[in-house]
Amino acid sequence: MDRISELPDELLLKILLLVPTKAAVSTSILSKRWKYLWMWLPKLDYGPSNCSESECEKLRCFLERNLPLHRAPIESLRLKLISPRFKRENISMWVLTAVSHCLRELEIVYDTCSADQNILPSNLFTCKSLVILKLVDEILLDVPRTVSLPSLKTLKLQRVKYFDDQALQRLLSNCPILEDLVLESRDYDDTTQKLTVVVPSLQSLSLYMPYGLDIDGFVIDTPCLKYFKLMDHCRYDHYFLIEKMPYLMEASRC
Amino acid sequence: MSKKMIVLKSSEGVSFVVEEAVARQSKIISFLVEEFPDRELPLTNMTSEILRKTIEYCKKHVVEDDGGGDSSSSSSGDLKEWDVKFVAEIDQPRLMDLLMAANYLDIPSLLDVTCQKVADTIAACNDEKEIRATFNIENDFTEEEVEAIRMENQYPI
Repeated sequence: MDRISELPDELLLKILLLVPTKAAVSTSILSKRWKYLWMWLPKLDYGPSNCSESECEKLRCFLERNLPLHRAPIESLRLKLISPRFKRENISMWVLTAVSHCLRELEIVYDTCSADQNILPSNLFTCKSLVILKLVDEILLDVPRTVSLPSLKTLKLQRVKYFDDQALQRLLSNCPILEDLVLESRDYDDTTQKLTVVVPSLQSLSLYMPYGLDIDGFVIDTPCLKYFKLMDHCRYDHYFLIEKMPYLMEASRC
Repeated sequence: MSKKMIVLKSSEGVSFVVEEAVARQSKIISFLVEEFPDRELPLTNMTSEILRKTIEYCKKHVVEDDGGGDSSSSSSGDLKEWDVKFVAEIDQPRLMDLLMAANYLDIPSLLDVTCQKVADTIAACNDEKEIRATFNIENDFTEEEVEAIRMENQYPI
């Protein structure tokens, strides 16, 4: 007897949430009971890193078709896109769709060997529901003039390219409750002169500076910081201007 | 001092005498014993077999939860291992019964382990045919409908 299909939607979704998204989507072909279930999943995680070209093309078509049709709020969207097949306009549109579905967590890993295109739509920077934002690899961070991320608590920027020296600080100064920040600079990057981190609410900061980073210096003003991790492997001279951190509980340097 | 006991009755009318602390792992029972103390609780939609299994799970967890102290981290690791073994030994239809029981009695940790086991089983299947065979799911699509879904969802299927 088919017991599993008798479970209420709520339990089937609890089960599908524990399955990789790709496998969860494939249950749509099991029977009519299952056809639309996956479209109610609040968390979507697409794109394995070793995806072949034809797989990537299938994924692109799939997202293009299905993301706008998603029925539940997209609480969490993770995209690992390692192929030039994923164009700027594709990703922009998917992020736009997710933002309009009450997005709380966004993670994009994008690697196509060129960080010259801005894949992030400007409405991402005014997304009121966003709590966690993680951007990894060849992503150009061009922060628009209007930024307001009132719910953002966690921000991770790994090896992204800043459009200009003000991009990062413009973003940070519009995140009033940001608590956790991880910044990893790009190796052999000489486009940024100064990185400024001024965040009154910040509690945890991790900074990673790779060997080939060519930067003049850092300005850090985070009066509420409790945890500070600095990984400075940079071979060039640079300065640090660090304001007082009276609440610091743990600091490490390696 | 003797521990307070309560009586749970299965759908076949079999009575199980259980320590109250064990049974209180279920939020529903916890609520019921406060509302109706000294009464036996009939669980008419649970067979003796499933009720016995549920009690076995609750007994194990109440002991470990009381253990506490410095050894708690290692005991929580052992408990996880015990959970995995506990669900691994149950066949598919009974796993569904146990999942439903955990849901009905509101025992969140038992619901989590049973759902995880079902999810792992789905994820381990190679294709939809294997999932259907494992869970006895009847394919009620026409061939055209299957083809249409395949076209729409080419990425995973």
